[in-house]
Amino acid sequence: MLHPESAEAVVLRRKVVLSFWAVFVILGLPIWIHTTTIHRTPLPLSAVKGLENELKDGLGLRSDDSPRLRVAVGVKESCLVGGTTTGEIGQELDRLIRPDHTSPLFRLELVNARESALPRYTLDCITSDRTPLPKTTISEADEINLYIPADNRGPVIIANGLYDAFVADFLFFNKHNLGSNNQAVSDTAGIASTIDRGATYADAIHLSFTLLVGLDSSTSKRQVEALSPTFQLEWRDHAENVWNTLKSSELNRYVTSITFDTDIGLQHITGGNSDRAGVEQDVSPEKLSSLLDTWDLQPITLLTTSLNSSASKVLQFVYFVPPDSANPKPSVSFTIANWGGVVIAGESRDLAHTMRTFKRQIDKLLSPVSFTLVDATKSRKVRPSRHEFARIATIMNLRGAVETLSALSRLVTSLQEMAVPSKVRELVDNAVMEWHSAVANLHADGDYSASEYRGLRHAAAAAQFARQAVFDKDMMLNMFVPFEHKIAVYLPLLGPVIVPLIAGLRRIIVESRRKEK
Amino acid sequence: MNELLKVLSLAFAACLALSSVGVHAQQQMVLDNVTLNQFLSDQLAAREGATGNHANNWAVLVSTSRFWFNYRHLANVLSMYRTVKRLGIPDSQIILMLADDVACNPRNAFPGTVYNNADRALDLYSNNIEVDYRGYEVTVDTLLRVLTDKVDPTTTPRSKRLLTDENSNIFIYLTGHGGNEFLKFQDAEEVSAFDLADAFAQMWETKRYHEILFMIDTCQANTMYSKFYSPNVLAVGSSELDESSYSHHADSDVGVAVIDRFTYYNLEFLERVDKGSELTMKDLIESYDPVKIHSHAGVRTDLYKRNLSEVRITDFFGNVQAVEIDEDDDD
Repeated sequence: MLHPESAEAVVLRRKVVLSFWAVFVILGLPIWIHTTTIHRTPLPLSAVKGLENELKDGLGLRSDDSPRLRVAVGVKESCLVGGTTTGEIGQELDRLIRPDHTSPLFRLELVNARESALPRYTLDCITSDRTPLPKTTISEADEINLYIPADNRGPVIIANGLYDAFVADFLFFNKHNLGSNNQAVSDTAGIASTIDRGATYADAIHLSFTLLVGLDSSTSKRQVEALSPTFQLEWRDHAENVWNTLKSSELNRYVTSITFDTDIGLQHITGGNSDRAGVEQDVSPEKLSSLLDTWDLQPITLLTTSLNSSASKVLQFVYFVPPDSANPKPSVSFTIANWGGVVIAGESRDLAHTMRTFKRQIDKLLSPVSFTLVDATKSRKVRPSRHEFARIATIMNLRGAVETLSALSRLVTSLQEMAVPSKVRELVDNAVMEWHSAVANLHADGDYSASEYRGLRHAAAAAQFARQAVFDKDMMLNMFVPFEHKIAVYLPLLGPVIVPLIAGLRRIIVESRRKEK
Repeated sequence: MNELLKVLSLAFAACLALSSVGVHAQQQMVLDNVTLNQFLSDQLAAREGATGNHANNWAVLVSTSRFWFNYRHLANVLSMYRTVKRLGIPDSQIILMLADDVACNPRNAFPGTVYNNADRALDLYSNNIEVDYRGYEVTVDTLLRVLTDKVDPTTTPRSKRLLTDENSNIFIYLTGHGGNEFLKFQDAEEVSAFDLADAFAQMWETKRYHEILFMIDTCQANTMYSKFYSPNVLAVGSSELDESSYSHHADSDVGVAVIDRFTYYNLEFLERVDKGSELTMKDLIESYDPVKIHSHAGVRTDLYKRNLSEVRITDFFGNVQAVEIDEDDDD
């Protein structure tokens, strides 16, 4: 039989149990909660949503007084050619398209064909004798913009989606009047995708030039280096004039000379074909691509580490001089988007020509694209001014910023186990602020000198901040731990402590109740 | 004593109850087919226009095993590395992670070499390999950061980053020891199927891929792709739940198994592929023979919109740069 506890022992036991509980509740629980709770800084998701809506509404840049026609379109492919249209929608459009109409822009507001009570229309194609247009696919965007030239002469531009509409808006209504004189842009969707295909924004863009010469080539490194200072300034000025590089972009030039037997590389292109005509046919994009795999291109490391920094972008330009003994020697130049350009110097090449080829390749890779204008009699290429493209580039960057911020919002909302550091909040706030500055500049459209492009700089900064936010290295997802693993960890850890504490507390409670009785 | 027993019983019952609640909650996390299909449709509609031809192909090749007796896992990865390089993916577009260095292991009877066949005809560890992450650098955290590109851009060189965009096709190959919805790293930690699924979701949202071919050679490999929910992911695994994957053969001089069965038969097929090959993923999948592999290789296609008979092997395993020949301009 157990000896009964003395009064002092009971008091001591109670104090010990209650002390342990006090430490557990006052100290242990808060520390545990603090160290296991995932830190998620609240993000301004409503502000991001506001940017999405602002972009969708046209940034306040588009005229809103154009006639609107609500239609239900149930088909995905159709086309509309200026002039006469068919069906009831055609009659409605004909009514709107009067010779004296004031606004050449019409907006077809699409409603969901499955849900709407409106009758369904099919936009049909009628080929005009004067200006045949290719078919255009109408996507399931909620708005189609038709740009109909004055006097109903010339082809109609169809722009689906907001971004295409921006481009078409700008081209059609700008001061340089690209949409006049019976000329119109043939394919806004293609233009938009071509603009996007260009080099994306980077903190710094490095141009790396490499000279590869055959062992017995008469072209030497010295010859190239002798000419390069002449072209260096020219390249620099030229590249700085491209529309998507900012003044902070760096241009660095290297010339490396690697002498090796280039026969293997050449045979890779020619397949050992000694017939010159056969060589011309053999030079296919696939073989040229394979040629790159045979080279080990390593740009010279700069004194700074900016080249190795992955925040910068490197474009390679290779001047490949086959050995004099090689026969035949193909003469071809080619570019690869986001990689760079290659000039293979055949017998007819001279260095000055090669340098100019590189300049054109820089132009192609970084410069604004040209539009193809078509009318009844001819087509020609037009390159809009830097100002015009700066505005389009601004809108492009703003679109990129909002898409990135929207992606961040979705990720943060759906992945509740993802930590959100306070730095990400700062970056998002900065992105939103730069966004508004860019839009303000777009509206002002004032002092837009070639060296400033304030709107573009703000928009590029907004896009950059957005990217930094979504790719912040501290915004990682907590690893998944199966529930049974948590039990396996916590049970042996807490069990030996919790069980005596609960037993002790229970005994205290039971004793108290007995005393009351 | 009775009180103590009562408390212990109560605690045990509470643990059982909590466990069952937790397991039930996990089961509820699986998306039902209708929700998944709607989600996929919405996601794909938003990404119309992106092209995934094989001009922008990347590869992430990971061996997660450490120790000499896991020689075959490194040989698996190096074999895949050799294959993708042969088919045109440059080193700049390959992330190679080797958790151990068996080539220079003191136990290696042929120092500086790694073979995937007992005939030792081909040294995979030649002087033309570029290992991006080696040894203890190969961790779960590293893999997830590489996939989601959450690295410090100022200190991480370009060669160690997965610099993909919305037009990139990515071939992700993992090999090592695995289990039900987990893959072991370095014999010290695990990556779960949920982690990979969420990583792919982040990649999709940030437009870091056009299509992914996920291939895994471990035990119970097919469970690793069971939690994926992102669009345009084609997944292939070497074995079903509760099924092991096996090695193919050992080299008596090396002393350990040198290749795994699933990878061996993949390589046997891929050796017939060249840069211009018309062989498709359907051909590859149909070449899997459970009798030879000794396990049931699986494929998951519900997240992948293209028909496998139209997907060329080179769409993932090869790379041809998008070359544009300049027009001759007169100055």
